[in-house]
Amino acid sequence: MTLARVHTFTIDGLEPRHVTVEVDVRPGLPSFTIVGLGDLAVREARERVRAALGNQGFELPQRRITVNLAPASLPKGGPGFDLPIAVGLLAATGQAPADDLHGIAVTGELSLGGMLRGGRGALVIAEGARAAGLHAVLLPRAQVAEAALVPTVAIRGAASLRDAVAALADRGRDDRRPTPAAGAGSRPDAAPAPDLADVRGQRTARRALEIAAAGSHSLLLAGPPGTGKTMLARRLPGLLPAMRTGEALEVTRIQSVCGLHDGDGLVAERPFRAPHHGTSAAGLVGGGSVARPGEITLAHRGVLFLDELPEFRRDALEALRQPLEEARVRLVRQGRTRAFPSRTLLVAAANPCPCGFAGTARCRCSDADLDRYRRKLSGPLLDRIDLHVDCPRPTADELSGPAPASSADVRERVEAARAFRARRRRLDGARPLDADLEEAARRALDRCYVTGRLSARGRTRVLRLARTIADLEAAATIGAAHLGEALHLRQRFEEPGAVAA
Amino acid sequence: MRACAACLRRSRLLAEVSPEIDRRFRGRRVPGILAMDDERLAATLGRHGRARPDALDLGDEELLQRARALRAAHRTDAICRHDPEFPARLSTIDDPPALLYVRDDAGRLVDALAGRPSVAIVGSRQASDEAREMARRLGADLASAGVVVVSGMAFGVDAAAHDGALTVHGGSGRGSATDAADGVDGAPSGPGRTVAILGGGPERSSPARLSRLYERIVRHGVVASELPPGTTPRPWTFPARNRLLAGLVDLVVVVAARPGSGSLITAGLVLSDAAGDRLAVVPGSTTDPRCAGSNALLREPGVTAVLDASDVLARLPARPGGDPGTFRPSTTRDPLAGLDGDGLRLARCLLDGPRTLESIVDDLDAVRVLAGLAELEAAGRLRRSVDGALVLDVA
Repeated sequence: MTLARVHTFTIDGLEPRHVTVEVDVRPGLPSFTIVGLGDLAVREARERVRAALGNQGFELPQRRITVNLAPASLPKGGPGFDLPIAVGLLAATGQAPADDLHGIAVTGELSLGGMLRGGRGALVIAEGARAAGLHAVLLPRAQVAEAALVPTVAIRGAASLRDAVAALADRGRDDRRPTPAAGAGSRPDAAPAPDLADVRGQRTARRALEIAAAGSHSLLLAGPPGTGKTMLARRLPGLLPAMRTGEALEVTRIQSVCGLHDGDGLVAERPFRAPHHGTSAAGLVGGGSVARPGEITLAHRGVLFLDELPEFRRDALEALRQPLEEARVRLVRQGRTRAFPSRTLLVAAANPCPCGFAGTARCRCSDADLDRYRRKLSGPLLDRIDLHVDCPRPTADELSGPAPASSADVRERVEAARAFRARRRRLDGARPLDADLEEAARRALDRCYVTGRLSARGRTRVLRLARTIADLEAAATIGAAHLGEALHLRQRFEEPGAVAA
Repeated sequence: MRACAACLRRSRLLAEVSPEIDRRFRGRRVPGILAMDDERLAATLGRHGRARPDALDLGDEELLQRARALRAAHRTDAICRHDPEFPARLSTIDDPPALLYVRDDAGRLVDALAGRPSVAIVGSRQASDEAREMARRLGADLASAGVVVVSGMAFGVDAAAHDGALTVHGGSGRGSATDAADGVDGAPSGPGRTVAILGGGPERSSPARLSRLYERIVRHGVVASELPPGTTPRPWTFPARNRLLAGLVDLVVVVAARPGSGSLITAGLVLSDAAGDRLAVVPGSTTDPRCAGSNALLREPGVTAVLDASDVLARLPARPGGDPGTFRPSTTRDPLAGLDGDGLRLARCLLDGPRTLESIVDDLDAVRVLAGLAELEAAGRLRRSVDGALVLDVA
């Protein structure tokens, strides 16, 4: 046997791509060549494989060794090819059983000593293996729990190269744990999620968070530094209903591919991403020469928090518009289009003025400063933001007062509202929100529109907000009080005359 | 065109040497310079071997022709101090302007000022909401009493004063207290009760962001400037403009000014008058640095404190024919007018000043409060203060 084939996968964006590692060993001047559009990590695999073989007591033949990663046209990257190359080499030289290789996907990074390191994307690779009709996946032991999320494929974990060779021969072996504990992720060592009860004062903002969670409305928090804007935003993921399994899988897949997942089963908490305001457009929406997911994809099914919104680069915010709208990022790289999911709830925070002390005697910002600041704020993203809350400094009484409602209480209301909305939609079908307005509410809303206080877009947004507020109260129709609260919480920067004459 | 060649030459010269004045004096007031005659001004500024300004060598006919071209291009007219109807008071200051450019028609300036008392309302660009509101009320009340409100159309107090005066359209003197948002629809144009003196050319709004206010003043008031159309405002042109404000009016009212602010330049000019009684100040909070400069003026002899428009009217010279003692104070307009039901209930809660929605909801039934909020929003009677509290707007 001088030719061996090993199945493995590379990750292209978030998708697994099947790769066959072909190892050919023949007489000739001793050499070791890897071809097939590998990146630097793949080329360096040679040195790791060479050392690992030696240190695990295997023999590297003094012959001409050629490794091909097929298909040759697909660019491949990462250290996950170490193990398939080593296994292929052993099979080609008769040191490992070759006929066990055709139904199994192999992936893993080798250390020089021959031990296996966990890598990224085990979940995606296992999914790829299942889709490709393979019956098993062999990977580093640290990744077993993650790969085990995929049913019907046998998962074999190995700690070292020698271990891996043994696992190959062990037909029918499956290392998946009996049942990944139901409600996985309720890990005892995990830090408790921040609770809404920790935030004192800010009643309006807490209410706005509840509405945002119930209706998936994006939110802008405006207020001086240190009033709890970031604290509030961090608590929003905890107000959203627990993820369904499908959603959790999506999130786990993304985190796994991006190396954020610790390899321990399904992600249970909704992601919260707070990129720094210096982040580039590619960092926010994804990009790079091989198209990596950006922050908005990492925040998929969770919350994307943009602190100091006006400090973000305009082109970066501009780039967020379409992904927020379509819940999907499309990137074209090397002639191929990749789509990343980006269904995220946007929360932005901003100081009320450049110095942060607007409304107090300490503020030294002129109208021109304020105006410039607001215009910076208003441009690209504002028409995607529904709710706008001012976060003033809490009073001393509020700070020492009793704890407000906890995240669990609020989440219960949010879930009830979402259930109510779902039932309402099922019964009513798709009908315009206008039809739900009670007479007094309709009069008030029309008057706001006719007098120009609301733009057409503003009117739609207020109406959607009012509908969510009514859902929170399980009200079939939108009353004047619902509309009043929606008007109170609406986003105002965009309105005509937002800047005083 | 009511300007002579000599005065046109002077204004062209100013525009031409404006960058040089800026380099030499930055934002400081430049009294000596503006009082010099043309040749000396050019010599002073050209000391460092700069070319002689072109304006000095233009022929009379050429100057007039160019002025006519400017007038056609920018819809600006000019009136010089040799015209019998030029505001007489302006010619008496130490460094009088040669002429004034006026948007549309110089007659508008003459008509606006003719036989009426005038008051300049000046103050900080970074004024508090209270100061702006005071400026707006003063502007509206004085205009309704037949007083011409003069200011510099800067952000803050200046803009608020113009805005207030514009709620009273020229002619009737009866305050038609409309929304004041636009004043576009069919309101009478013609000489109005507010005059804006700009720091740049009169043909466009400076600051540009106030272009809506600018258009309203053009339509219902007067926009004027010492500098020819196309001149960029520079740091020196604002103190220079302030001397025109001080020179033009019967009384200067400072609403709010930080120490060292431009409004204090205007105030200082009036204080140094021989008579020394043409300055009035709206007192501000003693702990707010944004009022410290204006409050300090109250210590000066002859300075009046202004609590409402009547204090201003009492200081104005009586004019034959007019009795500038009556105004319809906006302060006494019923803030609850036109409201009923839940809207009225909520409005009552806001009578004593801004409150947050939370504090109101604590006292009253939330549903009624929110329904009232919808009503007040629909009626356009609610504003937000910077920290998000609700503020009731007078209709």
